[in-house]
Amino acid sequence: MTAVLDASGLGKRYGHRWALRDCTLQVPAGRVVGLVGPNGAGKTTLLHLAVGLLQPSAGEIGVLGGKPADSPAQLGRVGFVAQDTPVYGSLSVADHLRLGGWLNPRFDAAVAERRIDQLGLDRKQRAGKLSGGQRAQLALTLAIAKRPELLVLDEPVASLDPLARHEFLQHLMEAVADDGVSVVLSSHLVADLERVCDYLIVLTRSRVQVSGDVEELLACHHRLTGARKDPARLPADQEIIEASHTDRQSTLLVRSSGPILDPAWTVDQIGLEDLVLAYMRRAGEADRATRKSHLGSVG
Amino acid sequence: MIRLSWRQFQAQAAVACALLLAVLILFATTRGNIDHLYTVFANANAACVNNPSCPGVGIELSKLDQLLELIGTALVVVPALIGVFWGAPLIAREFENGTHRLAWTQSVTRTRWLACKLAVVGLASVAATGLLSLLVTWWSSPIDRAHQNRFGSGMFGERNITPLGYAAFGFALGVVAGLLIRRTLPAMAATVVGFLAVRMTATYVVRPNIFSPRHATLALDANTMGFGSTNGGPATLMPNPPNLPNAWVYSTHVVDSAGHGLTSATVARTCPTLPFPGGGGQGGPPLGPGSHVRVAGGIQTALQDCVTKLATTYHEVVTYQPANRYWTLQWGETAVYFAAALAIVGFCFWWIRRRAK
Amino acid sequence: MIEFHLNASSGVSPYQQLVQQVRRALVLGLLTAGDQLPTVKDVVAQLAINPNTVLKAYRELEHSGLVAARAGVGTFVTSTLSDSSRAAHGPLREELESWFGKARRAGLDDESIEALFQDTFRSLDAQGVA
Repeated sequence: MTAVLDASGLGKRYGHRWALRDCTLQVPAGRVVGLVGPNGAGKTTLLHLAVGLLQPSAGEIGVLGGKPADSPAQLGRVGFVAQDTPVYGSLSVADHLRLGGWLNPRFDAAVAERRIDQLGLDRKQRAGKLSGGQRAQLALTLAIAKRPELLVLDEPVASLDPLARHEFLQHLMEAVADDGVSVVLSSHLVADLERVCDYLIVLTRSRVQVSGDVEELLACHHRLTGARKDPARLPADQEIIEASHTDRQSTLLVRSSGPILDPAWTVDQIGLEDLVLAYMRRAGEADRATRKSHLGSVG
Repeated sequence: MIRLSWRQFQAQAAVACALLLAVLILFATTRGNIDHLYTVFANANAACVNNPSCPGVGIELSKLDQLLELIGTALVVVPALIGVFWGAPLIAREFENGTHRLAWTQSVTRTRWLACKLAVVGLASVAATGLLSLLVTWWSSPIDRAHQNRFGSGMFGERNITPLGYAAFGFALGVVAGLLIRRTLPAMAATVVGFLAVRMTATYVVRPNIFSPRHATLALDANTMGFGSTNGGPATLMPNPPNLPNAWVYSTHVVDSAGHGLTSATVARTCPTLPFPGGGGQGGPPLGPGSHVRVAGGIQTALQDCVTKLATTYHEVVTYQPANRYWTLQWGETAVYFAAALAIVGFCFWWIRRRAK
Repeated sequence: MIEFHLNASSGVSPYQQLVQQVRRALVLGLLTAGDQLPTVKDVVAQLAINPNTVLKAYRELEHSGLVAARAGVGTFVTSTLSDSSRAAHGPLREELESWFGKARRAGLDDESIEALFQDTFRSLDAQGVA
């Protein structure tokens, strides 16, 4: 199956600073992909590269087998909702629906109209007067009615209240159930993604820390607790993601393809949020270590 | 995308239409009156020039008519306003609000998006300005016939086709400012500054030097000579403008055969009977080529003697562009401004294709 | 038609919760043979979860022989959990109530009762009895 997102060595630089670096991904189609990371990690950069709003400084990116924003046909296959869901403030809701039809040959006006009615939006209302949740729903309606193969959403629910957030995700999941559209959505809140995503990408400090199917990731990561032990004594196929020790006890987060057989450890499953946090912390540690070694060599 | 560009432009278009309609109505209802007034004035002026006992002809306009004449002057400002209010926000506002991220991820390419926006608003700019210029030129034609000064630096840009070029250029300048600066208010400011700089330079530095001006030599004539000072400088002889209808007069100087200018000191030496500082003498701005201003009473004789004395060594030199170059310069200037506008537009396309953010 | 709900903090994965809720509904008689389960789209629209989760739950129920999917129509219950077992519910419930009474009189609080029950259940389960 064609990967819906195929990046190799992808990077974007502004002056000296790399906003995204060494990004290599193969995201399969038909998934709801969660892109998680703290603010400033490079999520928006990656998404903008995927929809053609940015050009790479290094590496390559392919979307649905083509180059992003290459042609009107390619543009028509990808729907995008940018951060803060920009809309034309002085145009009405009805104008936005017309806009969708004017700018997209495959636009399904019936679907859009039906959804607007369901949402109870006033068509004459100027888009600038809508609440945050309503704006987000309008933007999502436009993107879905375009009948894309891939939907890309940049922190769509970040500034929404819990009800608006829930309604937005309901709308989105219905579209996935209806059309089988692939979704990539970014967030800095893991809780949002747990119900909705079946593929995870963790992005911190401009690099991909881990990516993969959520079920597989949860299956191959384990929390090991036991008596204080030197982690270097673990078998080679078990990769330590995080380790913490007290004087009596060691707690390890381990990635392992096979089962953990050592009876000295109590093996537990780990939740998605803990998994993400562990990788984010690991990235922080690695950065600190690099900086220290730099200082060491300079000073 | 054309329909979206038009929809986004609707409010501004409505304002422009309303203003143009108002101007049309005002001009249509007052044109007859102006025509009459100025025809009478022109006839009276022609009669007065040849009549030694006629001091001069003046015209007094009602407040309304004075205001209407201002509309012609406003024509100079319109291209700048177009650049600021139609050009600068065209792209800058999209960047400011982030709506370019909505527009560039529909199914139209960036190039088509830009092309449609430029086409709709650019054509509207030129058309609106063209209409306004047409109305102003039509309404002012009696005035122009009377004053015959349409070739002057100020008037040249308020008539006929030059405003079209200015509008295209002003619009393009606004658009590129918005594209590069990406914020509406700073782009507006940059547009005003840039537009003024170019217009000023083109009008006062470039245009006078495109064709070498002609020089006409005239003998000093007491009938067309005034005496006074300008801007509080020393009092001297000041010739009235020569009778060159619709020519663009750069300057009139009184010089001797070697080309040296007539100084106040020389006048004082040669004509001590003339009233120097403290005295009267009319030398104010004339009413137009061919008209003249009479000097009061007894000074008239003194002036005539003075001129007769100086006429042996001094003569008048008029530097001017002949009237038959008017339309060449009109077409040329319009073409250059349009070319500049197109060059800017070309740059905009290049910029938007190359720079992906 | 039953309605699903999700407990985000229960530690049980969403698809397992769905499976459990269908089973419980079958046990309690809320679902009988021939009833239709909510469509994937309806579940997803209500709970805002990934459709694949629902599909997975329904597939597992299908493997267990409890439901069958009819293409283009929906997913329907094919059999209930053993009807005979339902008959035994009454007397079993009474025995449980009497046991709870005894545990309370012995001084156990709710948590201890639950821990004791879970522990016994698990160890019996491990021995293959329960």
